[in-house]
Amino acid sequence: MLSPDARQVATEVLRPPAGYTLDRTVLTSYSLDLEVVLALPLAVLAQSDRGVEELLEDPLLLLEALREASGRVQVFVDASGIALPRVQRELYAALEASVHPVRAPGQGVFHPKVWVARFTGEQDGRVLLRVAVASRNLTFDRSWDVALVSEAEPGAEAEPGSEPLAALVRDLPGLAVQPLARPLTEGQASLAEELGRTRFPAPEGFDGAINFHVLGLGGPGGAPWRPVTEADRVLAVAPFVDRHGLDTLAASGAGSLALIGCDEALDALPEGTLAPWEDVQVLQETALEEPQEDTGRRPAGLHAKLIAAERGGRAHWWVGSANLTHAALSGRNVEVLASLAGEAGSAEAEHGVGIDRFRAGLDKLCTPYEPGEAPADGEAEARRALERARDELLQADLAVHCEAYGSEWRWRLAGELPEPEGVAIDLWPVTLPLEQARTWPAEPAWTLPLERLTAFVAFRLRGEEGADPVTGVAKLPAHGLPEERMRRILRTVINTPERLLAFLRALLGGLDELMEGVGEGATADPDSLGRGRALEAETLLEDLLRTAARDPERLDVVRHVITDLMADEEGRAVVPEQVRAIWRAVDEALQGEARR
Amino acid sequence: MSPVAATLTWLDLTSTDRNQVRQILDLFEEQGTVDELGLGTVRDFFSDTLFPGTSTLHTRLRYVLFIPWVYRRLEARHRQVQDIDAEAREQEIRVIDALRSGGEEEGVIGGHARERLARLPSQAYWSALARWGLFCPRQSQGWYHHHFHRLAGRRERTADEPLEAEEPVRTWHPQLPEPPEDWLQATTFALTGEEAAFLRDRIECAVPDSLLAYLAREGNAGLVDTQFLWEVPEVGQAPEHLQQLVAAARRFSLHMEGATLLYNLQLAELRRDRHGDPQGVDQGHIDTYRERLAVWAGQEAEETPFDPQALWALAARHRVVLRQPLRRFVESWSEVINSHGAAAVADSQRLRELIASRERALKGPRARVVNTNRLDQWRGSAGLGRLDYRWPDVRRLLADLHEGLGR
Repeated sequence: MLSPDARQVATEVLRPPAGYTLDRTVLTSYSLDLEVVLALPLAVLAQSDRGVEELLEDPLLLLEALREASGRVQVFVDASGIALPRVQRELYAALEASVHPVRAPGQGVFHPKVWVARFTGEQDGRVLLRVAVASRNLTFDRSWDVALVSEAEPGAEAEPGSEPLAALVRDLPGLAVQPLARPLTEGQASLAEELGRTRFPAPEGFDGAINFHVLGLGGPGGAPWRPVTEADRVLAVAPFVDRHGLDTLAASGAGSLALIGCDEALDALPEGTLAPWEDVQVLQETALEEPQEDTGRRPAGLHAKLIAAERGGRAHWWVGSANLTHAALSGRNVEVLASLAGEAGSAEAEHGVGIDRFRAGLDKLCTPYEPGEAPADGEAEARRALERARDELLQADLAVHCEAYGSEWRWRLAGELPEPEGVAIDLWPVTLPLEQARTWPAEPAWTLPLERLTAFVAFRLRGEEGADPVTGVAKLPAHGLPEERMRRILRTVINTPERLLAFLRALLGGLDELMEGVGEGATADPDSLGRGRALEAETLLEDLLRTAARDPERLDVVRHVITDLMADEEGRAVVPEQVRAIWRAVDEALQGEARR
Repeated sequence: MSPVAATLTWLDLTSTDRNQVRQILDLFEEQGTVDELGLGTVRDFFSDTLFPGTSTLHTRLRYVLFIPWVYRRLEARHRQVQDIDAEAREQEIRVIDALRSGGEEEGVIGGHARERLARLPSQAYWSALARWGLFCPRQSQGWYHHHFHRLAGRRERTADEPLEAEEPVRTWHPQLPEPPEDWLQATTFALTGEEAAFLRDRIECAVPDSLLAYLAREGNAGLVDTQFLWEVPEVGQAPEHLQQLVAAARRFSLHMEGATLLYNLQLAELRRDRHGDPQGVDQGHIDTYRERLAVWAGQEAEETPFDPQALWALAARHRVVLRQPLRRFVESWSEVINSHGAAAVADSQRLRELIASRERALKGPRARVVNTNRLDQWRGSAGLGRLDYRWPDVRRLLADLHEGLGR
């Protein structure tokens, strides 16, 4: 039962089973690192074992993965949750169509960490849905997170246990800060419809099917959610707790209350809150990592959120995003949990899913909590002030406007910002480094090359007395973004004949072929593709003809790339004469075919 | 295909992260192996350069044959394989039973858990399989599973039609020895002479410049008796660049051991001062650590002064990035010792401040030097001590190899 050794890898959760392809996936997260979302399609499509950092080293691979995944990945994230990325990349533009900031109706945060993936059979087109209810955000955190993963084919009948999940997927477009395009909304609706008639089986040891719970979709209404009303024993695991959340569980009247939490949150509790809790533990540090100057620490602490209640030999579990806080339980936040039930068993037993079985594995990593000093109020207050300013900024009516400006572009922010007292607001396009930031209300306009135009705006809020600044990224409505922007970004990546050949190879042979070439140079070499297997003229011709026969749409991309490159001197230098000749022949044949 | 079973597990971002957590979990069983002062990146640089492909998750060498054997069987009947994840897992569990039937206990991965096995041997050993070229595509296990049918099918076709223009795709190394008959009924960790020679050749071929390859060639079964790799007689005859690497590893291990000792001494003193030490426990620790520091200082004083710049240059040549804060910590440590002598360490105010600020930088408010609760939980020994660069694990793998070569 959740032994510390039983671990899954996030990228594998999205991996299609053999014989299936990924049709679409919906990811939700409270916080998000653009680099993780950038690397995720590559990690999933290429089945790579490499770390995210290494995947990011290769823009060409990323680009191809994003192209293959385009339209298949939709990410819904709390509007305040997009983190300032470590590196400025033009490629973030490729995420604009799939990252959707949302807001919780109840004024809290949008907190669920649910992944839904829809796979279709390559041969028979059968549909398989996989769902993961987790505590993990789409970030680099090395925290201790839990995931419940289950998959099934949709059935004919409505499944009441899955209906809340369907409702969430259906409602997501309605929570978005900017309206979603019609096809996306329709895609969500049809996925929701399928989810609503899918019975997701529970893991071994638990009975029957998973029941999903969604809190806060309608905002706070009625009494706060009480997960446990009657129990003999309760165990709660949560990094964030407050008096209200803990009292809700204590009110179950359980004779034994145990809590695994984090020092910081426990230290901040009002006095006496922990009195009913006979056993309070914290996770020991297991690994220490060098704080990085560029990204800060990768948090490595406890992040799982679990509630277990036992009564009469039966154990009932809730797994998901909800911390034991008022915001979570009252419906202010949007939260998603899954509930499971089974025979409890005992610590020594071979089977059972009770509290003792869980703790038999985890206890060696825990240590009893000893109260420490409550954190100083001043610091927290200063931070809250900055976060309020951030929320106002995110609610402000801002937009990005782009206009041609000589050979370059003028990128400017239009609209008004509230100017909270004592807070300085720095803004800049996310494709530029922080040094280029302008402090509001200095004219927020920059002259940029086409490939750096973006709808993502980075911000930094600075308070007065030495409090850490609050940073993040807003996605704004953008006007005047030229259509050729993505092609232009492609050009910045395909800047040598070798890279062009590698890209063509990937386009024609698929990402797998490309990865095979990379794997042979065992160590990560940022430029590995440049010296990948040479693409012989004959193979190129063969590949082009095969693609023309099987999948002619792929050739449209080739046509775009080559036409675009041939348009100017710099681009022509990238296209070898041989490739031009072969492409001309194939293209003419295709056009002839089309005319006939 | 039927859907796979649902799971409730911990979740890591990538398999690299997962293996790291598992290594830490293994270390956690022993006291005092947490990387309290953040020296892990240097340790891993040496370990990975000296012994590429290995991991502290590795127990016995023959696993790098068991896993290919399992997959070869599956490839041979790939048309019947419905769900490669599940079937490979089932076969790996059969290997556990076969090893137990063969009388093995120590080093059997998953000996207790069996069907509920969370950690498959193949996950732990895949790094070696790919790095040593036993798995020719050098791709991840996930990649292999995803393309399993295509690869197995293509292999078949090229065997039938040798003139097929398509490049033959190898999965497992063509010279992989055949498994003994009935090995899935009962087997042991003992390598045959042929198997050992094959593995030695693979290692020599794939990682020729490593100490691992050198010891695979030159070592013998007597390796088992050595506690540290620099005590291995053969290392003294190794090529120059390996001797330098080992010398640098040894020097760093000794030089920084003092920091761990001082850290523990500081904790014992802090706790005594805070609680008065009614049982005299902390005084006992203080005496022990002062003695150990004196012994260490004697050894350190006999060495040439440690040169951090040489280490950074060595790491850079191997394209390993060591971060600034770590470098500054090591440089400051060396500077004080080089100017005031190792004997002064135990009472050096500057070094104590250095250690305390390092711990604070790594752990924030949870550092023992500032957090009373954490200090109270200290059990008399924390930190890495003398670094051994995976030698105890690698030693076992090499001993398996040489015992096999002797058969």
